Amino acid sequence: MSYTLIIAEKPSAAERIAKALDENGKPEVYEENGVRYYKATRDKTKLVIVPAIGHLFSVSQKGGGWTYPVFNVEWVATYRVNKRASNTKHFIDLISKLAKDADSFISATDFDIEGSQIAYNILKYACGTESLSKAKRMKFSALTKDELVNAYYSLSQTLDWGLIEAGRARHEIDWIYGINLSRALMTSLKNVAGKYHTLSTGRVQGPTLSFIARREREIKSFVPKPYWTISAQAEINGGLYVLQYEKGKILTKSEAEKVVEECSGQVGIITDVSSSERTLSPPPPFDISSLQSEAYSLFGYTPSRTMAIAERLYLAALISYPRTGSQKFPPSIDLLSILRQLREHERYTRIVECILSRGKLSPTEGKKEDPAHPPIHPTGTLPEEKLSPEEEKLFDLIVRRFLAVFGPPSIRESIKVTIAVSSHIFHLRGMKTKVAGWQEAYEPYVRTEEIEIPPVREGEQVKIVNVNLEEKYTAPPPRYNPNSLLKLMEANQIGTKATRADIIETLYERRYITGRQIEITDLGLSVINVLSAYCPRVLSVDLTRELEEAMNQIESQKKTRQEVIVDAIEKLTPILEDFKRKEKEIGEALREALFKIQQKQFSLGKCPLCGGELKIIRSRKSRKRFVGCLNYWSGTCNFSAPLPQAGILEPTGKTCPNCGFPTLLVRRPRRRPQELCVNWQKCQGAK
Amino acid sequence: MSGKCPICGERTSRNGSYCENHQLAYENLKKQYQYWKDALQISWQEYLQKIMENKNTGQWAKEVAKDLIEKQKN
Repeated sequence: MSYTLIIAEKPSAAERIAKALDENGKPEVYEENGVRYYKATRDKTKLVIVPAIGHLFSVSQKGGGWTYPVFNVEWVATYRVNKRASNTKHFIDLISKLAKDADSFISATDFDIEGSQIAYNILKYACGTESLSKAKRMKFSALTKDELVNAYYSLSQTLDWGLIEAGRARHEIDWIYGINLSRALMTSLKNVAGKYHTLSTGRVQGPTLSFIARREREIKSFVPKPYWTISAQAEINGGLYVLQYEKGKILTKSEAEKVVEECSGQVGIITDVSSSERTLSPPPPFDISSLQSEAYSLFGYTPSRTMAIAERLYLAALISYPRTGSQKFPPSIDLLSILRQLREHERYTRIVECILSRGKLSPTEGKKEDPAHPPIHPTGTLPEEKLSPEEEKLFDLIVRRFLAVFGPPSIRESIKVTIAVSSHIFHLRGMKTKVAGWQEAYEPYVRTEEIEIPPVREGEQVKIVNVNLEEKYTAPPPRYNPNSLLKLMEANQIGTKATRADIIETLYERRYITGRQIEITDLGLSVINVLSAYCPRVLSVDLTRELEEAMNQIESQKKTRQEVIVDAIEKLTPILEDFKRKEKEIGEALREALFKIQQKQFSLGKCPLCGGELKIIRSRKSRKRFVGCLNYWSGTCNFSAPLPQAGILEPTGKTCPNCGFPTLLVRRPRRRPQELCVNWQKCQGAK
Repeated sequence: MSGKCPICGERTSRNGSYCENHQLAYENLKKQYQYWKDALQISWQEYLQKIMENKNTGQWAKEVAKDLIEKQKN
């Protein structure tokens, strides 16, 4: 019995595709080694729908040896190179088995570089090379029944080779850069220090970390400048209002004090009342970066978390495909039908009715385009099961943004009252929304301020109750957070919309960066210092961008995969040769940096009993760690205290407010970091 | 021949007596003094003290300010 084998990207996508394509909506369900697959019938054609679980095949080194440079790569089953992916074997085995009786194939993975790449590898390595010529492509942007059935009836007769070749090139180039540069770092250290230490860098990772290092230098070498601001409290119509001095910043203390002196206790006269209106157009629909940005500022979700939640909403057929760069709705999207379905949701009924009552639908558009997918929008399907609180929040945000794009402009009025006090000018400012427009739909997420001011007229006198002088200092540039870093990567065109969030996560995993307000660690800074001193080209944004552009040209079939890979290797080779020549110096520099980091990790600060140095020490006998004073060896201090044996200990550089002993941070998996006084046995504050 | 930074022990930069990071902070300290002098009419010593106590001052700049104060004491 022959059939068409349909390959889906994820188990839940396979289930949705099977239910949508089966004429009765009830495909037969089978299971083998924990992997479910489905049999469906449509137009008398038998369909077997089988899932993948992301990438089932990965790039690996062809041939053995732990050396560099290494440019020979091959694709192998992921479970062979990644122990944590052992479950992928069951998927490959099942697909291989089902492929034997299939007479045609359909790639029904997500329509993007990664999705096309996943299906291509499965067809080539699990189903056999001959399957590639028998394979068609099903393209969809949402997992709704209508969209899937339409996609099935309008299959592309061949695979999407542009995307596949671009995907293969990206994986192979990233692997070649990552493995060679990381091995170069580790080899130089090993040759000098005699032992391995895991270090890594990569094509996008290096430049991204170098952005953070540059910012850290600006912050750590920052010298503030003083300035003064003046405000006054005035009594107007029986109420107290705050006036701002016309000069936002005053640069000398003497000038600021003079103003205060001349205005205190005076009566002001209103010399002008003016108002102006500003029209705020509705925001454009969400692409992935604007969704990640909005979710970060509203809910504090990191870009990778937003991506994961959006992915779940997509797999539940609630929203369209989230990895999109588009801010324009193509005419093929039935906006009216989506709005009508959303009207059924009590929460959105009133807003939708308001939109429909205005007649013609003309959604706002942004500048970005993505021919593969429309902007992120609700499919109209309402949740079948209760969503988790984070899914609920993101879903509501996406729905409201979708509704907001149909709204009329919002109009804000700002009022400025000018008050002369002595020979100085102060202002009272008010702000109000005159027409809510699209903000009504987006209301919970609108961040505008309403500032009420009393009715006033020119010539009116106001009593100045007091004048306040505030000394302030300029602040260093803010630390990047995962959201602003992602935006910076996007602005510099490094990485892709699908990979940027993962690159940032990798930097956390490597312990190169820490905290939500991203701080580079000593380890991260050491790696950047060494790379910028000895092979700065690795950190170059230009090199990364050039490669990105070349890979985009494969997608548009202006360049071939081979050309781009050869070019990438030609660019990397002199870097690695240079690295090899300087291996000894690089190794020395890394060893010195790592030694200092280790010293810093173990050094806790001054012993309040004798002024000696407190250190984390590991007992040779019991192998347990404890804190001890180094003056123990000279016999002048015998302070010691036990320490937790589990978790990572980090000196905080602070002292306990109760006993003056240093404190450290205990980090354990799945627990909040705990600050501990090293004198915890005797410290009153610890009890 | 290069020496060692009196603050962190790293190699000194080519054009100064501190390592690259502390030298950068030192240059910033020198650059901003005139601004503080105009604003507050203070001496270099008073400036360094204020910089050391300011919460917006970067760690390296604080360390350099502390080093300069100590050098002047000795």
